[in-house]
Amino acid sequence: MVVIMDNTIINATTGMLARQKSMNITSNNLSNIETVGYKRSDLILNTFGEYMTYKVDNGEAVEIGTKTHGVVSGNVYNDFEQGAIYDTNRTLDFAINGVGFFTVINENGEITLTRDGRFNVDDNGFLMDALGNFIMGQNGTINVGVPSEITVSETGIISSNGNAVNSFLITIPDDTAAIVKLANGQLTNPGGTLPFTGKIIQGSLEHSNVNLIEEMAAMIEDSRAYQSCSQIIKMADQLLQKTVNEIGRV
Amino acid sequence: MFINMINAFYSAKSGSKNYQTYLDAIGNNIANVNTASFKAQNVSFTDLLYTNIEGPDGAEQNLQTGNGSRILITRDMSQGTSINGSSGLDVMIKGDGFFALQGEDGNISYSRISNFTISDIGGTKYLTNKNGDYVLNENLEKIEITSGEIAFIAPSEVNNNAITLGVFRFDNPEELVALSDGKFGISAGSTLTAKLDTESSLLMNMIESSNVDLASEMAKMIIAQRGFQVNAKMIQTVDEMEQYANNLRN
Repeated sequence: MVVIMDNTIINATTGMLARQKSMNITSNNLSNIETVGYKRSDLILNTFGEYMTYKVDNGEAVEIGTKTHGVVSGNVYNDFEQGAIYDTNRTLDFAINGVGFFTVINENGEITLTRDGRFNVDDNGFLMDALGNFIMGQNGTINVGVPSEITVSETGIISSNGNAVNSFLITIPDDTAAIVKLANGQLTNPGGTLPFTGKIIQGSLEHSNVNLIEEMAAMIEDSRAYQSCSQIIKMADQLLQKTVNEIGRV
Repeated sequence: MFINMINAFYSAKSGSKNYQTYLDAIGNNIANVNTASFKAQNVSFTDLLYTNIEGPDGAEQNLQTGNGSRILITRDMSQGTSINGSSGLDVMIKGDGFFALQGEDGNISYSRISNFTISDIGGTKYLTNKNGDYVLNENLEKIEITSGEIAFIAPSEVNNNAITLGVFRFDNPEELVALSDGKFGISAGSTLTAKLDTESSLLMNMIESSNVDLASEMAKMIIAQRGFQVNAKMIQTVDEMEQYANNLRN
């Protein structure tokens, strides 16, 4: 009897912990609802591994069915769905329509990916992101010269004063599940790449793909499920109390 | 592995705080909708570091949870429209240059506002602005006014009977630091250098209006208010969850 009570409390606790993690992810999505090129995350919950229970019948163990020990967070799924593209009329704002990422190289020489196309030109004419990392072209880092009239074609060819100087290196990871998010809208791609089929849109940026209604619904769901689990723990506690204090009282 | 409080609380806190700053910037833009040569500020969001939460068997899986958002504030240096000035000393820069000003402390700052006047300092008449800063010529020298009829030209223009005002440009004017009274300065440690502007021209008897677009500021205000609200709601919900956890044992 006591063992079963313990299980109830443990099951409900795993529920509370899982909902708490899910809440953290929902909260991050809501915090980044205005972040350029942000892709929402979602927590996928799995049941804890099932196990067989037995009863003892005439000295032999007889199977009576399976049980689980509750819920466990399985994976964080990044939703790379296209965000809405909006006009900024700024020459150095770029959005990608389709699958793919701008390729960025930071001061440590590490290559990262981003959908955030808010770029600038530094004093030496190099195209930089908002953090001062170089943007990669197909022929190395992109230099547009200063000052210049910059136009970018849909396929990513960059022209400065009418002369093609380079074209954007767009990375399309072949395994989106392996992508790891870093800070400031940057991601890493541990896998290989595929050819680019989308379009580059100059003078525009991409909104985050967070849907306010969905996130609010998830928030309510998580908080209520958390509450339910806490109620179950309380109930189990009350039952335990009865077991301990009332059974066998003379 | 786990922060004691639910992490969602801090993500939502960062969101609320950032939307508040967003509203501050919008408020300042709207307050300066009629300020001559005012340049609007833009707030944009980006995400923070991600942390890995542990999987069930202790192995690190793709279980990333975010920690909220942060903001970047940029200034829109685009040209404002021209409106009729009230005196012959009103001059508007057509192009992306700045007038050079020298304060009493000798420091040079840059401004697009031409609230010019003629000041009698020790018997010599100088061209100053209404705050008492000297207006400088293309060699960064104070301008003495000798004749009654005054006409101004930019360094790009030629007229022997006119006074050449020092008009300077920057490769990245977004990096300038705003001082009060429409003045901009170069921050310590910045590599920004003022270069003589050979492209901008001057429009006499004209004032440059603020480049704040009231309609888009109002739209942004709604977004910022709703963003604040949804993050505040998240804080409240997490607070309720903490309460359930605290009431497990009553």
